[in-house]
Order: sequence, then C-alpha cells, then structure tokens
Amino acid sequence: MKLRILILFLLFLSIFIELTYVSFPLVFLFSYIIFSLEHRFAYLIPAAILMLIADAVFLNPIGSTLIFVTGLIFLIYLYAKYLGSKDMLVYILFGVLGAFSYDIIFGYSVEALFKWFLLFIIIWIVYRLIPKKYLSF
Amino acid sequence: MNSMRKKQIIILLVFFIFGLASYLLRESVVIKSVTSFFQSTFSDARSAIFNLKVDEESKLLLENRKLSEKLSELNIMKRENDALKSQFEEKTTSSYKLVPARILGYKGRGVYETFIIDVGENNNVSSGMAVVVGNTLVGNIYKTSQSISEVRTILHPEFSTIVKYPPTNARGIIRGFNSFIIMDNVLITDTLEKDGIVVTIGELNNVGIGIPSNLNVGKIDSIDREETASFQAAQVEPLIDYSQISNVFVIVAF
Repeated sequence: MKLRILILFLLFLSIFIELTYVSFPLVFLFSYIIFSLEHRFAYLIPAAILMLIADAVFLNPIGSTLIFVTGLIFLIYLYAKYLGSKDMLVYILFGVLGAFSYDIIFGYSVEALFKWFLLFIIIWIVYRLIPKKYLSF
Repeated sequence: MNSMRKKQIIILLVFFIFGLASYLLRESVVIKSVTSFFQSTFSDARSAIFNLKVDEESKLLLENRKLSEKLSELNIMKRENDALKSQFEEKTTSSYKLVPARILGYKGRGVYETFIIDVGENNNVSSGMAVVVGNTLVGNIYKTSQSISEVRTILHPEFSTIVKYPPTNARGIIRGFNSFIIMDNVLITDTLEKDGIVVTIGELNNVGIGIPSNLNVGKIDSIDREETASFQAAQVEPLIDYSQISNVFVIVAF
C-alpha cells in the first residue's frame, strides 16, 4: 500500500518536474506503473485525475495519456491471453515501447528511439541478473 | 482467477471510456473550463519551479544581445537613408502591443524547440503570433488554450520565416535545425557577411496575425556558397541563449 501511495505522490510531483527540470515522460511512466500494479478504484481514480491534469498543463489533448496507458495495459492482457506469458519482462517491454511511442506522438524528441533502446538493454541486463522467482506478477 | 481477470478488464475499460470521453469532448465548455482551471492553478507553481532552474538572464548575455540589436538597428537606419523611405518603413517593438509571459517549461530533450508560456486565449493570444525578447524573435505561438500556450522557437525544425540581411538586402528563408538555424534560398548574386545580423521581413495571415518586420533573428556564423549553384545558404546563430530566459513577450497587435 505504501508503494502505491509513493507512486501516486511521484506521479503528482512529476507534473511539476516534467518539462521544467527534465524533459522525460515521467507522468506516463508513473501512470503506467500504477495501472500495472493496481486494480482498485481508490488508487486508479486519483491516478486518472492526475493524468488529466498533466494533459492540461502540457497542452496535450485532454484524456490522451489515460487512453494511451489503459490501451497499453489492454495490449498486455491480450498478449497474456493468447501467448500465456505474464512475465515482468512483458510489462517492461510494453512499457519501453509505449513510452517511446508516447515520446514520438507528443513531440518530445526524435532522439528518443536510441535512448529508449539503450534503456531497454539496461533493463534486460538487470532482468537477467534477478532470480526468476521474483519476476512474475 | 477468471472472475478477477474479468473485474480487472472492466475497471480498465471504465477508465479507457472515461479517457476517450474526455478526449472526444475536449472542445466542450465544461472540459475547457476544467482544463483552464487546472492550467491556471498549476501555472504559478510550475513557473516558480522553472525559475529555480533559470536565473535571471545574465548581465553579459543581456549586454551582448542589446549590442547586437543596436548593430542591427544601425544597419537598418543606414539602409533607410540610402533607399526610398516609403518602401522600407521600419518599426521597433515600442510600437507593438505586447503581452508579457512567463515560461512554464520546455518540451524536447536538451534542445530548446518548444516551450509553454502562462498566457492564452484569455489574454488575446492566438496561434501564429510572434514571441520576442527585446527586439529579437524567439519563435511563434503554435497552440493555445484558455490560459497557456505552446511556443515553437526558431530552432524548431518546422519553424520557418522569410528574412533579409539589411546591409545588402539579401533575402532568404530561415529554418530551424534543432540546435542551429539555416538561412536558405539566398540568391547567389546576393551578398552575405559573417557576423551580420539577419532580420525578419514580416509575414501576416489573412486576419493580420503573424511576424512583424525587422525583428532580429540571429547572427551569420558561416556561409555556404558555391559559384556554380543558384542559391547559397548560411548558418545563423540565435541571439538568445534559450537556457537563460524565463520571460518573453507576445506581439498581439502591430
């Protein structure tokens, strides 16, 4: 529970940090994490409201981050349903690809491809080092 | 297990529909009012955080820009005296109607292509309007909402405007290339000089909104000229250090 509240707090904080100190889709990442981990309205409603606020202050079409994140989780469900895997790496891979697409759509930078690819390689290395028993949801 | 999965999908579907409804109704009065409320509530805090990062423009940079502006003005005045006054009527920012704005944050990584300011439709700001610091062009308004707007700087790859080099009247089109700008399509017969200041010629749309003439754009850094080609190009260095500005002005009328 504490972790969920911490992520919600980080999501709130990232509205101020993103585009002022760092130009990195923090709001997307924290929203994606909370929607991947949590399925209770008590946590998801504040997260959804914060996503709408983020869209408003970043001048993105309102609701687009929420559509993007929920759409991505749906894709993971579809993947899990038809291919059976519910491994953490699937969440990470979809997260990285989603963040990359989000970058391109909302005009962060065209250099994103290289950076996200690099990030995925790092995550992949970390993933290989973590024992298997800790890696499923 | 199966019912739990169903419940998760239903919850997700509720949020997806909620997001889709907000997206589809984004032009409605209710959503616009809510958006405006969020924007104005968060503007002050974001501006304060941004100002912690960007100190007031350094004295040296300010002096440098003012000297460049003076040089450009002198060139323009010289040109005016030589040519017919009626054809080259010059203006300075003092005759423009300006709206001051604070920068709330930049978009893009490491380059200063796009930023958000704290004025919008409520302040009579609309897309296409020029954004300046002193007499120097910063960019133009790309998107507006009721209380905030997005500015595309002259470094943005999709930014372009017609410019001239006043001492020789060489004309060309300025285009952004992320970290530098290029003055392109300059006739090979025209003369460009290193360290010369290029200024805008002025562009207006059918409702009179756009970029006024004689705003400084940048200093010519290098010239790419081949005698066999029809056109020449020059790399232009912006007069503004985008990492050092926290306030700009929008030209709402001129």
